[in-house]
Amino acid sequence: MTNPCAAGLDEVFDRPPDPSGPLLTLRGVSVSFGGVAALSGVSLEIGPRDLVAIVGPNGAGKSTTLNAICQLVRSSGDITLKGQPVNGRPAWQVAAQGVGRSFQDPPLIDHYTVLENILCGAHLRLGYRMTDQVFRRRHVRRREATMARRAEILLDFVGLAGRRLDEAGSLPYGARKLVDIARAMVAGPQILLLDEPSSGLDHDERGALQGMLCTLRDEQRVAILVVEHHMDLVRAAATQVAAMQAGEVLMTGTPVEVLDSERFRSAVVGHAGHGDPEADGAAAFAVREDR
Amino acid sequence: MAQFLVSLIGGFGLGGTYALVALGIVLAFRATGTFNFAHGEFMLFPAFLIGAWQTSHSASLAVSVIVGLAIVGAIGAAFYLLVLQRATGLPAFMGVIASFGLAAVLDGVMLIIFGSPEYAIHFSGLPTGVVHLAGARFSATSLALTGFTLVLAAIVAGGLRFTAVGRRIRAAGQDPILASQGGINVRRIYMGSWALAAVLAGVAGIAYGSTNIVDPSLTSVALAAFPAILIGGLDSIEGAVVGGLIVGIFQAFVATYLNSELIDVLTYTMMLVVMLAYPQGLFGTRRVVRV
Amino acid sequence: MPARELSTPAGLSEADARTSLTRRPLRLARRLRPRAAWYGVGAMAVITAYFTLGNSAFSLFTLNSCLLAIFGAVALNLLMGTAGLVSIGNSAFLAVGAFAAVFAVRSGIPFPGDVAFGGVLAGLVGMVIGLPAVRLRGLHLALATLAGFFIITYFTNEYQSNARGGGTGGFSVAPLFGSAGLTGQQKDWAWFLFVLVAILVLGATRIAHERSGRAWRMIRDHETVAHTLGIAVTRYKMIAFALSSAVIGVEGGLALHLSGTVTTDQFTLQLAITYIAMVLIGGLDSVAGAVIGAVLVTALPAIVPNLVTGLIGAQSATSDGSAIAEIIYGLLVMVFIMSSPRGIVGLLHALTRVSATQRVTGQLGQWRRKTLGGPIQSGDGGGSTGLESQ
Repeated sequence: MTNPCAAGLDEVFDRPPDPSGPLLTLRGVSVSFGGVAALSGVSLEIGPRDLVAIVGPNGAGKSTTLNAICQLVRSSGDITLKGQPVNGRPAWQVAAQGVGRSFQDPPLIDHYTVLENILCGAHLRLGYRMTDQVFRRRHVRRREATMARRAEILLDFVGLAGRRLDEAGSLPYGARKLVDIARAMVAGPQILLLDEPSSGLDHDERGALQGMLCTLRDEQRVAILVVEHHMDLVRAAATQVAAMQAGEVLMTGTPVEVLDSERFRSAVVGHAGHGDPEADGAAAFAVREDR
Repeated sequence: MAQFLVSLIGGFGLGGTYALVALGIVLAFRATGTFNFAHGEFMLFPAFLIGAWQTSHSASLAVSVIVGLAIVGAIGAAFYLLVLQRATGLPAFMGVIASFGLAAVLDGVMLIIFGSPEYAIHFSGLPTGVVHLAGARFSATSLALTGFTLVLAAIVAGGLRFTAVGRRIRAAGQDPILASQGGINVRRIYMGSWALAAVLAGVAGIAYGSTNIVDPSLTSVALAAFPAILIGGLDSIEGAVVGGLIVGIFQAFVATYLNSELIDVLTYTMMLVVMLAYPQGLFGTRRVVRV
Repeated sequence: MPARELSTPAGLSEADARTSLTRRPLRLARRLRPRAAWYGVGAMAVITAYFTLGNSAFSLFTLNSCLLAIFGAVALNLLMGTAGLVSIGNSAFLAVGAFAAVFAVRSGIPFPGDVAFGGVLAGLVGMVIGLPAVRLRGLHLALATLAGFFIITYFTNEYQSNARGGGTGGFSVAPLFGSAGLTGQQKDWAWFLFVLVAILVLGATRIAHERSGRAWRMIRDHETVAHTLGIAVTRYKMIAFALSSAVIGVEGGLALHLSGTVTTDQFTLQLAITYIAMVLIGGLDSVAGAVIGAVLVTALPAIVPNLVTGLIGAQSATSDGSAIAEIIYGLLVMVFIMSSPRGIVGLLHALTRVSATQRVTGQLGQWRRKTLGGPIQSGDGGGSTGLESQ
C-alpha cells in the first residue's frame, strides 16, 4: 500500500480548528420527510482532532445527518459549530464556516478538467469579485495561482497527479470519488464530511483511501466525520464510532467498543439481506475478525 | 345575467379547446418529459389544409379532415422517433428547444405552402342559427362545437383511465422501466402518445377555427394550454381537462368584464402564482429532490 | 513487476494512463482560452473592415444586424448555457430596452444616455423576473419566463398605445450617424458596433470562467451541491438574470437607433426562439458559439434567397427567403440536438480531438519507453501539454 504524499497538507489546511473544546455538536437533531422521521433526536460530538465514523444499516439516517449539518435539509434541534449555532443558517454560510462535504455520487462538472473541478471547491477562498475578473486580471491570476497550487498538492495526495488535465467525464468511478474528496478539501476546511467515500472502490483504491484518512487524522489539522460501510477501514482510521439505526444513535465509543458490541452486531445482522451487500460482508468480516 | 351566461358558455367553449390541447401536451410530457412548443403549429396545419381545400374545392371536408389529422399525427410521431429518442440523455429543456426548432420548421413550411391567409371553415353537418337561453343568444355552431370538444376530452381522459390500452399508456408514462418489464412496448406507446397529442391538437385547431377565424395567430391559442397544464398538474391527465376549463372560463370572464388586452397577462400571472404556491398543481404529483 | 507498479500513479492502470495522454492535446485549447477571445475579436475586426471597404449598403446592414444579434446571443448564452437558466421570453427585454430608450429620448436624454437607461431598466426588470425564477427549475422556469414575456409585452403595448405620439405605428427617432448618407451611416455603425461587441465578448469571456464561471456551472449541473461549496446560489442567479437582461436591453436601444423605428409587433415569441436557436446552434456555454450562432442565424435570411435562386433559379425565393431561413435554422436546431448538443463549437472540439489522437498514437511507443522505464513524473509540470513529446 502506497503512503499518500502528505507534503504540503499544512499549506492546504492553513486554518486548523481550535484544539480546545468540541468542534461540532449536534443535540436532539430531528428530520422528517413528509411524516416519516429520518432522524430522531440525534446527538453527536466531534472534537477538532477526531475522525468519527458513522456506521449502521441502510436507511439509518447517516447521510441525512450529514445533510442536516450542511443545512441541505431542515432540521429541528441544535447544531453548533465552533461554538456558534448554525441550524437554520443558509447552506453556503455553513460552508463558509469551514465545512467541506463529499457525496455518495460524485457531483462533478463533466466538461471541466480534474483541476478545474477541484478549483470549484475553492470558491470561498478565492474571494475575488466579478468586476475583478474583468478589470484586475493580475489580482485574479495571483489568487488563482495560490489555489491552483493547493489543488496540485491535493492531487498528489489523492494520487491523481497524472490526471490533472483530464476531462472529469472520462474518469472511472473511483477517480471521480477522489476528485470529489479533493474538492471538499481544497478550501482548507476545519471539518470534512465524507459520505461513503469507499463505496464503489476496489480493494486497492480502498487501501489508498484508508491511508489518506489515517494521514489526515495524524496531521491533526482537520476533523473528519465519515459515513462508512467498510468496517476494516473504520477500525483502521476512526478515533470514535457512532452507530446509527432507524434515525437514532445507538451508541458511541471507540471502534473496538462499538463494532464488537452485541448491540451493534445484532442491529447490523438484523438487517442482513436487506440491502447493502458490502455492509453484510463487512459485518461478517467484523465478526470473523476477533477469532 | 345574460352577459354572465354568455361568458360562462363561451368559457366552456374555449375551455374545451384548451382541454384538448392540454391533454395532448400532457400525454407528450408523460412520454418524454418535455413540453411541446410546436403544438400551436399542430393546431394550425389541419385547419389551414381544410380551409385551403374548402376554398379551392379540391377535396371534400371529410377527406381534408382525415388527411390533415393524419399528417400532423405523422409529424408528431416522426418528431418523437427522430429527435426526442436521441435526446433522452439530455436535460429536459433540450426537448423544449427541439420543439422550438420543430415549430420554426413548421412555421416556415406553412408560410411557403399557404402564405398568410384567413380562412373560415364551414362544417355542413352542424346546426346553424341562433339559440336562445335565459335571455342570451348563442350561435348554435359554437354550442355544438363546445359540446363536441368537451365530450371528446372526456372520452380521451376516460379512455386513458379506464381502458386497458389507456392503462398501458399511463404506466409507460409513469415508470418506463417497470412498464417495459411488464411486457409493454414503451417506445411504441411514446410514439403513439405523440401522434395522439398532435391529432388532438389538430382537432382542437379545427374546432376553434370553425367558430373563429383560421389565420396564423391560431398558434398562440396553444400557449394558453400551458397555464392550464400547470394549474391542473403537469403530469395529470384529468388535471389537463380541468385546467383547460378553468383557464377558458377565466379568459372568457376577463374578456367580458375587463379588457380583452388583459387576457394573456392575467392568464399567465395566474399561472405564475399557481406555480409558486402549488408547483404540483391541483392533481399533479409532488417532486422531491434528494441528494 | 515492481518497475511497472512504480510507473503509474496510485490506483491507475496503464490503460488509464494512456487515455490521459491522448486527452492532453485537447487541453492546449484550454490554455489559449483567454487569448482566444482576442483572436476572435481580431477576426471580427477583419470582417468588419472587409465590409466597410466595400460599398454594399445591404451587406453592411446585414453585418450590423449580426453584430447586434451577438449582444443577445452572448447574453442568452451566459444565462442558459453557463448558468443553466432557461429563458424563453428574452425578446421582451429587447422591447424594454427599446421603449425605455424612447422614453428617455422624449425626456431629453440623448444618445448614448438613453441606451444606457434602457439597459439599466431592462436589467432591473430582469431581476424582478429573476426573483420567482430562483425558486424554479427546468420547465417551470421556462414557463415563468414565458409569463414574464407576456407581462412585459403588455406594459410595452400599453406604453405604445397611450403615450403621446404613439399608436400602432410605434415610435420613431432620428437614426444615428444619419448625416453620412445611407452607406456611410452603415459604415459608421459597423465600427461603432464592432467596438461595443469587442468589449462585450472580452468581458463575457472573462466572467464565464474562473470563479464566477465555476459557480454558475455548479449551479447549472448540481445546484444543491453548489451550496455546500459556499456559492451564494440565489445571488449568482439574480446576477445572471440582471446582466443578461441588461445586455439585451442595450441591444434593443441600439437597434432602435439603427433602424429609427420601433413597434411592439417586432417583439414576438418567434424572435425569442430565434435567439435560443442562435445559442444552441453555435454551442451552449460558449461565447464563441454565441457569436457564431448569432451571425449564422441572422445572416441566413440574407444569404438564403441568393442561394436558392442560384440553386433552382426560382424567383419566388426572395419572398420566401425568411420562411426558408426559418426552416433551415429550425432543422439545424433539431439536428444539433440529435447529434451534437454542444453545437458547432462542440463539433469543432470533437474534430480536433480526433486528429490529436491520431497524431499522438504514433508517439505512444516513445511514451511507453520513457515512462515504463523509470519513476513517474508528477503531472506534466506547469500546465504544458503532451505535445512537447514531439
